Amino acid sequence: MNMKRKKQIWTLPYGVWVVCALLFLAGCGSDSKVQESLSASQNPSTIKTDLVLAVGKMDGGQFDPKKGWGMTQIRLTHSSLLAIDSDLNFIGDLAKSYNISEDGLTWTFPLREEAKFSNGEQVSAEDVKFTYEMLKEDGIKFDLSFVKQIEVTEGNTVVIRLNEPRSTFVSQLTEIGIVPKAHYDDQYSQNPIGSGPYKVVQYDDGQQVILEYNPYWYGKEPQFKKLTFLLLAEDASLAAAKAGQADIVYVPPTFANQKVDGMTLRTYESIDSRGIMMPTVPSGGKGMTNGNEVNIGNDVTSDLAIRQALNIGLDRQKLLDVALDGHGKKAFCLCDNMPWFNEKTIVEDGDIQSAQKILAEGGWVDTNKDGVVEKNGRKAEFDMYFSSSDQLRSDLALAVADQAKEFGIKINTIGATWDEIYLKGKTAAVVWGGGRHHPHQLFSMNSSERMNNGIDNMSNYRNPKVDEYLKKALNATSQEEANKYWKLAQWDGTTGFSGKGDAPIVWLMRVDHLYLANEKLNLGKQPVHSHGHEWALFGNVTEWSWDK
Amino acid sequence: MQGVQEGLNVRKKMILLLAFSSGFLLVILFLSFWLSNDNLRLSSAKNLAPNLEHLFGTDWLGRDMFTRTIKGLRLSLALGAFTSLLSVIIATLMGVCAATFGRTVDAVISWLIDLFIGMPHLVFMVLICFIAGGGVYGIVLGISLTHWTALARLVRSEVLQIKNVEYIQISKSYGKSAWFIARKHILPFIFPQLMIGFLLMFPHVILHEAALTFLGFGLSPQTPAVGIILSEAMSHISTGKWWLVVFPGVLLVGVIKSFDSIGEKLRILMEPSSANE
Repeated sequence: MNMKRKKQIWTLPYGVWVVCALLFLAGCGSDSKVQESLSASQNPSTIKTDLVLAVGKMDGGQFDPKKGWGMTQIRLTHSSLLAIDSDLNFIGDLAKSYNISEDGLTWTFPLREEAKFSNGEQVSAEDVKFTYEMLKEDGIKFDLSFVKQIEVTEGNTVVIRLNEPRSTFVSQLTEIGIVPKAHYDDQYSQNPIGSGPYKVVQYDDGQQVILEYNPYWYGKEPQFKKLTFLLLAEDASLAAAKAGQADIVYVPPTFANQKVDGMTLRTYESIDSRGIMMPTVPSGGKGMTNGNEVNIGNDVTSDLAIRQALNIGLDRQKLLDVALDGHGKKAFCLCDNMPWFNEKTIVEDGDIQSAQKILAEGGWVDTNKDGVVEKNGRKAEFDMYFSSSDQLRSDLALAVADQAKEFGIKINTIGATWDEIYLKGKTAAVVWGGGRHHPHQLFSMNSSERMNNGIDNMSNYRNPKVDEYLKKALNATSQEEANKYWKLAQWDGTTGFSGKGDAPIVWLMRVDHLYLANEKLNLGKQPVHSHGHEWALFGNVTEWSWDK
Repeated sequence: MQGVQEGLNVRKKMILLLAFSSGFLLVILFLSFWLSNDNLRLSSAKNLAPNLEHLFGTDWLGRDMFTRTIKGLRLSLALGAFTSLLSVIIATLMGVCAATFGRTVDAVISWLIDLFIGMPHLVFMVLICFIAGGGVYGIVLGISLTHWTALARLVRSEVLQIKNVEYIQISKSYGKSAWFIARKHILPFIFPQLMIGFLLMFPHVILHEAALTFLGFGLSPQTPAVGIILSEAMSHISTGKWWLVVFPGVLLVGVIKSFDSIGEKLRILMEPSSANE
């Protein structure tokens, strides 16, 4: 009797489960139908003036330059002194023009009279001065320590005087969004006021951002008056595209072969590079990351042979095929194909024999035949962190670990949040990223001066020769001279920070930025994209149109 | 009369089921050692639907899902066994201490049990796992430190019950040490309870292990673990790769159900009140 009752009790939950599952599925189905009809009613057949976008989480910067807004692309909501056109030339934005003195120390910017913030107030030279001084004082997200003095002179003009010439300053001028002096405070993210083509009308962190056309915008009037950003994860974005709820979505390469009716895949070449950052100092020390004290150093990756073996042993094309389905290009430095790229850093990669030779010469031999090389009893085994919310980085991490095994290096991959990575990242390898339209990152990622600054120079790399080149490149008064030293810093024939030299970061690939966009949406002429797929698209947002 | 008739049948059926469940688990264990680690490597055979060569298909990096699932289950089983054992040891110690060392100790331990039961299970586990720094270590600690309570209560009441029975009193009056009594008289008495407790805790622990790895605590994505497989597959459901979820999920349920039924059947067979049915 007891048994029989037992049986019944067991069968009951199964029935309940099945019913639950059915209810759940039914719920999903009806839900999406409602949503579809909603979005259909929102799209009238007249000229389309609003767009729904799902291009990422967009959690960087929160519209505040002090929080890092500008590390990628500011041009939706802010304007800056200068801008970059789609051929990477510097053109005036808030500044009508600019003038640099012979010695490179005095920069003069006459400002536009008609530029206004989204609240109707004029963008004045005082606002520019305020923004730059505020960021200089903060010193974390933008390094402006070389700025001596900022003056406001007659005729709405800003004059910036420098302590020393700075070849990358011109790029910073394109990245720093001007904020209003009268309205800027620590709560600026909640109600950002800028002078870009759009203003933020609603900002729900982690959910959605709604931008509307800023009627005071001084530039070309965009066709789309309202942009709704859905802050969705990558798979949810794809689902939104399939349900017809978004006009443009970012897709990671693993989803690139997905077909969605009415949408086409847009592929944009980028200098958005990915590589493996490795600590160059042995463990035991202390350092700073983003203002917090952290442990630094790793006893395996601090050995040069390990880093160089990875640079030459990893097969970049295979990594591209496995992790990116071929949607990318090989990379050997942070700046491939830019004017400051040193082509001598390109190596024949995927060369396992050479990798093994480098390891053997460095003292790493597999004595106990377990497939992992050792040196002085220490196994060539280390942890590698990657952002667990980033499909591409996690696939890349797995692919790298898989390949490294072939020449005897064991990499344990660990998915973590960025906060965790910043805390532990200086003790282990990290799947790192970067790539800008300017060479300043070459300095910030590799100069010993920047060792404890924000998330710069995570590998605690120090090479006096490289430091010297970087300094010279930074202080050059002409771009040609600067580029010469940028190239030497990468590889001067004997040393450098590229993979051939000290390899603090082994750069592996440039990632194509992929978007699924409505076939009628014309995204204009896109420049080579910089790091950050969320914002890179919007440099020319005022040129976008909806074709008939 | 009918009851007796049915009971016999049920007993046979029960033993058959028991054999089947154990067989299933043994097959998984055997396969997990037999399958080569090379199948876990990345390959160009990506996104294949289930076929004869890849029974469970392959994932987006070309790894064989059958191998991953089976090896993941082995990890689950190993972790489950170790963690359950740890929990049982904690439970026994706590239970016996509470029952034998007097009022104050009993109050303290009872309070501890209440405290652990009062906390939401999963949250507590995640907390311990996080403090311990994640990884296998964190998972084992997290689960074993939260799962001993129910069994400890049982052990305590069992021990309290037999503490005053005659043979123990006699043993005491003969001057036997407390340790001798615990070892020779009390432990054998509660052993069946512990055994069943261990077996029934097993599926519970495996599910929690899967939950913790699903939430991303500690284990590397290189490690084949069912929780990791399922959480990775989540982001690929939207592209229609159902086989990444269905097979590992079904097998996980199968393993858990097997353990559950083994434990349940053994309990029925061993418990005096139902063993004669």
